[in-house]
Amino acid sequence: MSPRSHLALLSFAWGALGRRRGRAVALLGGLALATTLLAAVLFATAALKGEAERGRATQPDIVVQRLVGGRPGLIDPTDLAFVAQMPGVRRAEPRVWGYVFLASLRANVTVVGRREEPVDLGLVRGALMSGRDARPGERGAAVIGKGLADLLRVREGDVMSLPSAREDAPALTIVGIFDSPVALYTSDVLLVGADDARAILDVPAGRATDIAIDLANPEEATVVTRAILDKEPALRVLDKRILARTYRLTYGRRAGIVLAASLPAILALLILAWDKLGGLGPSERREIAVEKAVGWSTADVLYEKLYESALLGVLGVGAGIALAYAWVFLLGAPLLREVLSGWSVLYPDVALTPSIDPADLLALVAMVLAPFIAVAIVPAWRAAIVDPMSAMRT
Amino acid sequence: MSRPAPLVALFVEAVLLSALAIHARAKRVSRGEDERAIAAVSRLMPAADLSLAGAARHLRFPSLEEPAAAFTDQPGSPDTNPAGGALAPPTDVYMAIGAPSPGKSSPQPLGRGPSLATPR
Repeated sequence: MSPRSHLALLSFAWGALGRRRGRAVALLGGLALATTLLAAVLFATAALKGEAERGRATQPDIVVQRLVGGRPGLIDPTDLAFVAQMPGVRRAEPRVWGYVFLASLRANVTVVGRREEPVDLGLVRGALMSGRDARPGERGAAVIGKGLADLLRVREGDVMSLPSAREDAPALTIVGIFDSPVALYTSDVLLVGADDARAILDVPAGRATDIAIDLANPEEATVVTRAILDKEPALRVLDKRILARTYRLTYGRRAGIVLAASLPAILALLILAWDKLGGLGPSERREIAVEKAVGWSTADVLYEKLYESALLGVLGVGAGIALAYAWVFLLGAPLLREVLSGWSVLYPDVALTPSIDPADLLALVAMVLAPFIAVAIVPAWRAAIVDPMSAMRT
Repeated sequence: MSRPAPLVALFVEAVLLSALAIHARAKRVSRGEDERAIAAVSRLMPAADLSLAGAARHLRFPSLEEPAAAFTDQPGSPDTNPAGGALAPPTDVYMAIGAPSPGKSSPQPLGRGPSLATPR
């Protein structure tokens, strides 16, 4: 069959869809909605995984915690001395951070003690929305996450205090507010001087929440982890790569749950497709009979019916992908984002960035389109072998 | 029905999807410009985890915070704490068990209005 004949059959299939507009719209809409649901989950999950990955490069290679009774306890100075002298450890720095529950917000705030990093956040474009960085060692100064600042309705220059078990916990002056591009990392954060963090969180001098370790060779993380645990089993070592894998698993699992929940909708669509494509109405039987009476071969009818399904499928899947893109990246994935990333009072207001793997997209298209066209083959064959004489008589 | 009609429909769809691909690329480039700020800030943060769900303590280190505690998350397991899902945690329970702080009082009630330093 020549390409011109195929084009003619394609045009005829397009016309046939127009003649049975109600059925075509029902199938197209069902297919587009099912694709939208699947593609939106895929897009949102990939975007969240991409964000989790983005900040990983500058994270410490491993983090050491102390376990007491199976729960995280405070790091002792001896722990710090022990890990600092381990072969392969380039830098070991104690960190002080923790959570404070604010009754007025009904939410936990993450209080982070400022590390002795040479970088001034005020000089980094996109880090601070207003104000300046808290200087290392500065007392009573805090840089606040944008989400938290909005919720507390505080701004640069305001003074606030956090609930603390210690009398010497300082009142904090807001000296800066984190900017939107880093809101995913800082929305619930109060960055304060290390001594202020100790006072607020009631961490005694010399002790710490955990130890951040940079390795001379990051590839040796597994070896160093094993060496630390062999000598000090009460410590727990978090490898950066394990954290990344946990994130992928977490989002993958949540996406899997959503996809599993939407499976009945996909099955319902396939049943609808089978029913609508399989049931030949009187007008369609008459149309096929006329086609065969004027010389169409069985192959011609088969092709024409398959083109009908393919046109519906391609247009429906394309519309679904476009709707999913708009839902996730233009509207911010309302309803879906809460399910995938979790509920929070201090939810960061950041637009998701597309991070789509073409292979995943192709797999999605194949997953929806292949069964849709496959369920049309048998009905198309049944239509193609209609006897024109009996069809016209009935 | 004219012959090019289905081809036109497919062409329009291809153009629409291409436009979305270009938009996606532009957004990725725009986000790429934030890399330096993200690197500087995430270096100061306690974990690689995002502040997506700050209501439950374990969520800044999902699945790894308390490996031996009851009802903790495990890699690949369903969330037992509703803070990890679409539902809010029982904040009324938090309120009921939250003891008043023995520390110093706040110069302003948090979240209830402008502070002393805010111009009236």
